[in-house]
Amino acid sequence: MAASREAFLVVASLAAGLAVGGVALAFGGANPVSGVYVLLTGFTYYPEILVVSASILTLTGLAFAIPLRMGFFNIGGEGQLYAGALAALVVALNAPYTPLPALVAGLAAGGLLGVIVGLLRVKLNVNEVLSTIMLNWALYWFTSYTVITRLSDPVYPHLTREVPEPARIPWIPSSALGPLSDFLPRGLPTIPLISAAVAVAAWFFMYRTLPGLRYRFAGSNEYAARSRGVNVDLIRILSMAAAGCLAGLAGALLVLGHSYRIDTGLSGLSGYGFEGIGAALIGRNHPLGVAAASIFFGGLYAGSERIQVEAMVPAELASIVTGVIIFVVAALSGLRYIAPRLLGAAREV
Amino acid sequence: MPEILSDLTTVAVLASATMVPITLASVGEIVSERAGVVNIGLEGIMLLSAWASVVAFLIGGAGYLEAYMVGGLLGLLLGLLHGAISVYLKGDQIVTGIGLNIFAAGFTVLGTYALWGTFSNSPSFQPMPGIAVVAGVKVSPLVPLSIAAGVAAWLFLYRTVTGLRLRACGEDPRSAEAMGVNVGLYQLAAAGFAGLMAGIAGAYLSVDYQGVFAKNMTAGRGFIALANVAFSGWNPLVAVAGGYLFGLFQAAAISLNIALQEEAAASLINATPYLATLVVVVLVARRGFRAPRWLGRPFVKE
Amino acid sequence: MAAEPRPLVEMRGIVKVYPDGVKALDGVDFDVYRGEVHALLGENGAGKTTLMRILYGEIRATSGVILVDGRRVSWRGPWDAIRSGIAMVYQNFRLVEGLTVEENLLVYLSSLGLPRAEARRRVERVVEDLGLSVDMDAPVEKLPPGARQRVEIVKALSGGARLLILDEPTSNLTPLEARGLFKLIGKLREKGVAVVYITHKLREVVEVADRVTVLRRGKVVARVSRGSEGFNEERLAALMVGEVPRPSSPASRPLGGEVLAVKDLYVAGDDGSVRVKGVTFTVRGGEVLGIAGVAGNGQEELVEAIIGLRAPLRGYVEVLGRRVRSPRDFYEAGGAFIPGDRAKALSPELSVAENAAFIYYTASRALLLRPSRLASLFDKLVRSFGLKAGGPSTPVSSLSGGNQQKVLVGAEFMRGFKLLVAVNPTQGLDVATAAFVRRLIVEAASRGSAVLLISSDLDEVLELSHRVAVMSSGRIAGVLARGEATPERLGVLMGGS
Repeated sequence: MAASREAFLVVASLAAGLAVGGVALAFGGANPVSGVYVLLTGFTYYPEILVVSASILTLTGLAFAIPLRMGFFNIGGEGQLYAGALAALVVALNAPYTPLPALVAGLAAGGLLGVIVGLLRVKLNVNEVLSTIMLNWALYWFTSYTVITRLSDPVYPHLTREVPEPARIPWIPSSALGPLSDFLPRGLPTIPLISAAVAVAAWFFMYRTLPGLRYRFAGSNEYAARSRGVNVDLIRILSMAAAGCLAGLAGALLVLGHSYRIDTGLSGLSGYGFEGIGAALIGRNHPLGVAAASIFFGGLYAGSERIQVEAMVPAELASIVTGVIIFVVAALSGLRYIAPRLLGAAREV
Repeated sequence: MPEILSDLTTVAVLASATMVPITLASVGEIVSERAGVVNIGLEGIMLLSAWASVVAFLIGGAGYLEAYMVGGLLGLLLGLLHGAISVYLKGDQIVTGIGLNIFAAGFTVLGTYALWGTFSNSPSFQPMPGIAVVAGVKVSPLVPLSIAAGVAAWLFLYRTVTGLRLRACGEDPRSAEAMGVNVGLYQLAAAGFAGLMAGIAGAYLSVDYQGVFAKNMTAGRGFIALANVAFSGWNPLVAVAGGYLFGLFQAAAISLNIALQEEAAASLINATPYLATLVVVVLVARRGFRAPRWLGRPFVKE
Repeated sequence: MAAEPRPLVEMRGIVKVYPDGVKALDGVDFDVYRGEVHALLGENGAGKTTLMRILYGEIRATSGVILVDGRRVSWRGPWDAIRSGIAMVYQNFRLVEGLTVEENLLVYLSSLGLPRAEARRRVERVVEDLGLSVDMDAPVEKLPPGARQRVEIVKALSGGARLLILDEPTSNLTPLEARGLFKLIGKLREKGVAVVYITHKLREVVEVADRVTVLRRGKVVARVSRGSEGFNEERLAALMVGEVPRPSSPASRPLGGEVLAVKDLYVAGDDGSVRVKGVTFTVRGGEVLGIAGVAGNGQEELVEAIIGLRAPLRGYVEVLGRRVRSPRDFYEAGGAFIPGDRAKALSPELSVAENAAFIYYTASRALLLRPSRLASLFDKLVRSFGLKAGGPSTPVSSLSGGNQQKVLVGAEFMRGFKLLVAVNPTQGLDVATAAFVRRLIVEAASRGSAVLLISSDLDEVLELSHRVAVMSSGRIAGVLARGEATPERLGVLMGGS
């Protein structure tokens, strides 16, 4: 049915994003064709950016995709990620023995926010777009406040103290990577393994378990699900809780496995939550699709770093491309209403 | 004591300056949401317009007024684009807004670099002169104008038949259409108006308030405007008051930051408007206080 | 009526063929005079509403002519009809709930180019003329259905309507509100307004109509005027449902124990009104109990209460002695459910096999869903139920209605059950598939299952049921044993008392 329409959406939005990226490159004084080429291939210079961004976007992408099936717009991935990062950092600084408690703390902090948003919507009918926007910014400033007042490094006041070595997520040493070791001289962070495991687990849950089938069904036909004994409200709240956990985990992984600190402007954290939405849309809300799209976006960020070096065009080029891709997917998402027969068959049920 | 008093006066006057972009964008967004179109890309529109009006001023040789017009016009076009996507393509209103925000954040940095060779900001210039100076703070003509915009929007929505027809679109487009309202046209116009107001708000920030374009200079004001829309219960008059209240928070944060080097306290003050809005919305969620019923949903005719 | 020289509106030879090939109307003639209440009677799907939507300009006829005041017209949309004085009051009102009564009237009348002051004057005149009391400042959402309907009528008349089309106007009203409506219709007749009254309720026709046109399967089967011989409920019922062939009786077997018990059940609808009012019955193993009745008489709420989806106000439902308080109770006790509308059972986004698995594993506590299991479910549907579909992962939305029904029915039958609650199980199916589904139901009963069959298709109810209960206005109007059930007797019970 909709497979051709889905493919059209993805191709059209990627093409539009790269085309506008090319125009922006020309505007920035670079050759658009070779510029786009560098944007797409530059990741080879920065494989670590690719790997880390793709891993984080997979999680924040799932944090958008999972509740979306239940009709929730979780645009609170940003705030949930900040909360996860902050909680993980606090725990890691206070109990610097293993990364596990900090990971759990990050997961729980994000999950708690998700549950709040879910309860507000299901019990009090507070729109989740509104509540997540408010929580995003409240958490942004709260995190910034905590970073300044409680966690700041005596030497670098705009940064927090570093996560102590034992609480960091271990890296896989370069020597163990075989042929990839040339690309990754520092080795490989374990972050992508965790993200990949999460994506596969999400896929397995959705497509290989009965509760997963019920969850997909409930999002698509609430009446049918209720009439067969499925607790739809509970699934709604759980889907937001799961989303919060994943975004919180993303924040914890960034702090424990990549940046080891937070800065007062949260520049190492901000953006992933919103950009994950792009990964979710391009991945068509399928866990493995989200992971694949995240790799594309991760490559884009790495490529944009390269562009900045090669063509002196700011790395924000990646945001332009991402923004256009999200915009175009969203703009075309209504095709199912206005041209049901244009692409794929009409829905009969 | 007198020093504290004069400080408080300064904060109170400064709040009239910080309220302007929030109020303008809120008033525009209220009209749009009353018609059923939500635009969470206000932040992006503000940022792009702030940038474009500085380009017009510094490079295009435009005067202050023309710079304002460029900002407003760009906002109008972006609002219409968002409206057309929402109304005619039945696109996803929330997600297009997010795309717009991300795009704007990237584009303005790239554009700033392309024109002025730095990533962070344009050269600064003398901001637009005000109509008065109170307690050492410039008062822009946009201060009374933004209040007037709130009053005018209220009169339009609640005292004209056209405003009534517009509200019918946001409540129940199906019935509105059945009663002879061209829902699509109203929604498109309302979305354009929201863009226009956000555009003027952006121009105010760069041309009038600060005299520079700086990377991410909107700093969440578009989102505060969205908060204010909900805070006001979709009432433009309350939104003017809310705009001043939120302006006061910002002014306090700015003064604290400058006067005491208290970055931390400023952060907490900055968080307050968002939490306050969430609390207000939760508290009144059960009583008559509610968003237009068809807000943000595509209206598909049978 | 016939004294008048020319009808206000005349429709001649109206044919409507929908894009999917269904012929909804087949050469219908219809007219209505000033000051006349003309009922349009027929079962669901007879074409009543389609005919009126054509008159109102909402849809176009495939062929045929419409004359207003003797002049041929061609509408581009409802607003052409409204400007010519034709207005429709829908079953679900078209009022903006968040606005007040006055604001709604103003939105409508401003669309006709009336300035605010003139609009007010017109509304006042209409309200006064009809002797109504309408609270102009009340928000529409606070008004009961009867008051909303009056607002709709005031709205139409202030806009200059000379012909009012009322679509099933009593379906959302309480009996008291319906009384008020009939009085209002009387006043409209006095004022010379023409009224088309779309309904399937015989009693109302006899009560309010001057003339009735009976539609069956897109054709006019009779036109009867008040005072003429056939203008009574019994005759109209027979005209509406048609001649029902005497069914061959199913072999009677000894019945088993009580499987479903419904006791003194009261159930509220979505709007809070009591829709099921003290229903009591039992169904025994091996028995098919049919519930006949015109749709909208509480059947939907009754079914939802039986499967545990809707909590009763009073009374209870038991399946094999187990009290049903949630759908889970119903299914775990051995219940199975085929809803009347496939859209309420299947997920268009999911595949055939996934939909089947969702139904097959209802209330199952299993965790894993193996692809091999999906494939074997699909194979079984193809082999045992004659499903025609590309493959297990074909989206269910790409199947024909008949095949979708096979997915639903097949998965439910594979699951096994002791009680089947089936609502219009053959609706929209081709003849062969419908016969197949009916055979399955008969076989299930002969294996000892209890079956509760709720259907608006009288033929089907009479063919399959051992007993037929007729539901009307939320009550069981009567229970007839197989031999006693004739279309006439059922029709009278269905018409309500």
